[in-house]
Amino acid sequence: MIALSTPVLWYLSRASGIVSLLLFTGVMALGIMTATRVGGRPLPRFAVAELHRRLALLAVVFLAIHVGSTALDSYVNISFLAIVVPGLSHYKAFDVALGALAIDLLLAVVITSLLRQRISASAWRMIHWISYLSWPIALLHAFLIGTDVRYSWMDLLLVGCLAVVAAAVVWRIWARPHPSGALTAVPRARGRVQAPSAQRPTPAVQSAPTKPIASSRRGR
Amino acid sequence: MAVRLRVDPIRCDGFGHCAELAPELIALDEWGYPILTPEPLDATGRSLASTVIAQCPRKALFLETLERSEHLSRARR
Amino acid sequence: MIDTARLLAGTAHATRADLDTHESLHGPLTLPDRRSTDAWTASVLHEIELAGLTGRGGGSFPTARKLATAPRSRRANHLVINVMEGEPASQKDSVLACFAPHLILDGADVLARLVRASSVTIAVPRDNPAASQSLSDALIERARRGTSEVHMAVELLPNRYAGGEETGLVHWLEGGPAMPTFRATKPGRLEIRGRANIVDNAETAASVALIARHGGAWFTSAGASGAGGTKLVTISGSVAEAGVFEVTLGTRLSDVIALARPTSTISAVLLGGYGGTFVPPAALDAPYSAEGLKPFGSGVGAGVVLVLGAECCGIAETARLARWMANESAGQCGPCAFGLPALADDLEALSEARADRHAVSRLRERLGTIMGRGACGHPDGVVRMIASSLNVFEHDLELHASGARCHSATRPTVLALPRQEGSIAWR
Repeated sequence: MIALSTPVLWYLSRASGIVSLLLFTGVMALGIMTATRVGGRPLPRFAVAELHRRLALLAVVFLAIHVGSTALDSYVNISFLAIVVPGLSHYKAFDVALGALAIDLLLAVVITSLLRQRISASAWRMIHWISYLSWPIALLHAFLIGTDVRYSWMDLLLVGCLAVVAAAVVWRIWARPHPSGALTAVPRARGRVQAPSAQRPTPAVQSAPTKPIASSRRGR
Repeated sequence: MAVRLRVDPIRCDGFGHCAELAPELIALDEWGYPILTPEPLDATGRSLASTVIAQCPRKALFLETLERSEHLSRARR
Repeated sequence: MIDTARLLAGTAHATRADLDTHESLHGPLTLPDRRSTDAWTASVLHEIELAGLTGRGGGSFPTARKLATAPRSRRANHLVINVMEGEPASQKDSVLACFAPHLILDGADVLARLVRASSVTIAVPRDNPAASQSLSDALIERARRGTSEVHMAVELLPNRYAGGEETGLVHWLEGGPAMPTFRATKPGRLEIRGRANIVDNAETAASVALIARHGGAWFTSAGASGAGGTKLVTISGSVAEAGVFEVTLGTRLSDVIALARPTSTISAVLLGGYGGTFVPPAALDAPYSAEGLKPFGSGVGAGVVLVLGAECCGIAETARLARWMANESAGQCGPCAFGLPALADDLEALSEARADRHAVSRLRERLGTIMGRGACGHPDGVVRMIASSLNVFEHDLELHASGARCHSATRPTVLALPRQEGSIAWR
């Protein structure tokens, strides 16, 4: 614990927390844009995916600053362990716990992504969906934990983040960005076979003749 | 040892990153799915190939070693 | 001279051959004891090679070679007998299962020893209870007699066209859906939990059962030299007596079709299956065999002989085939899932004489784009079928493309088109 005469660590913690939330909001939006194959000029699709990955790493850096400065600060009593184990903090137990939970979920996503080449594609994908759980918990954490120092711009910021991700999710569910018209590689519903109604039924199994046809070579 | 680029069509979901990164090797059909060049890769091709293989969101691309330059036939059931 | 049916012996009155009847018809099948297995295996493989037997499920791969290259590892292999017959125009495997099940099971016994399989699955579709009942009863008869040492079990699978493809079969046996899987090289190993699988068609198994008894020379004595014995065909379409027949390979195609009594002048024949190829009337003089049909870009395939009479509209029937096959796609691969419906769209437009100017060239271009880009052979079959149709019905195609109304297009179809309800069941 570091005791300083100025609350610089406290400000650092809050500032980096906000920046990391903003960055993760961008990461979520870019992730959804990757999945919905958004891209072309000026940003090709692979670049959207690459931006998503790099922004995520940057967000993790700011998140590390956020939790590091929080734990180091003696102004509030939050241990390093409380960062990853929900419920250990004495200061605002529930709100911090939310943050810890969001970090735990995020850790699963980040670690599997770093080890992506070594794990199965379906395992990676299933765990990656956890980000849809992690991000709202992080947002809730940000909302609840700042209630003692309420700035109106902070509210606007949070609402803005929520709006961005909500819009992206709605886009994902309702839009059809794939060239064929499907959202992911899901083909459209199967068409009906256009056959007139008086259809001949499938030939019934019949008895077979006991003589096979002799080959033409034999001159039959 | 000749190699060529191949795709697992079941894993492929038509993201199209490969065609953006390596248009010399990969084109997209009208539905967004990759058409790969069947020729063995030269040195430039190989380095492009390793990039697209790493970048594919579904890990659908892979390298295939060619024993002889034979066309692999499918025995269907 | 041959004057008795072989595979279809004893089925003339649509009666099922029980174990006693089976043995009196075909004679006993002597299987080796443990010590003489290797010598016996070598000799049977030799006979199968002499017989020139090729896969009867549509692949037409030389059976002897396939068996000789079966994997040999410490873990015993698993044999699968494919009675799925997802091909709507084919009923031969069902006929064998219903009327001569012991031939199939004898074949399974022999094959299991040849490929060192310790267990056998008989894969039957759920919607063919007659076949599964007959095979299950046959297993019970054999169990009572103490005939078989190898463990055999009937499994009921969802009946999809693509589900009878061997990777789909194996996928289902693994506990997954009956959907094809991707193999980078073919023929590759089919594995379930580290155990290699060999899949053989029911008719192939039945033929093996006969060859093991009577030898390869006997098998070929029924056909023109090199043509490889007898085969089951399912003749349907513009014929009066559609059904399953046993024919000698090398017989003239017109003689084969004559068995089912065609009802009008033949304008084309679809050979092989719904993923097979159309041949023009000129092919009617060709021998019904792999070599005889090769000049027409065709082959025997799964023994389907679908006759289109002069009253049929080839374009309309092709359009229906294309749509039905497109609906059967597992939907796993883009070129198949999107390409086949696109082909069907254009063919339906052509059939109804409402196609735009570019429809035919678009069709031909797409055929080239789709070919070879799926994980299994389903799209390839459809492409080949459509390509052959565009050739054989070239004249009709021009008329349809020009917008001329075709009266035959609205006639009842001669195709068997099983219903395709709602969403596909793959499990």
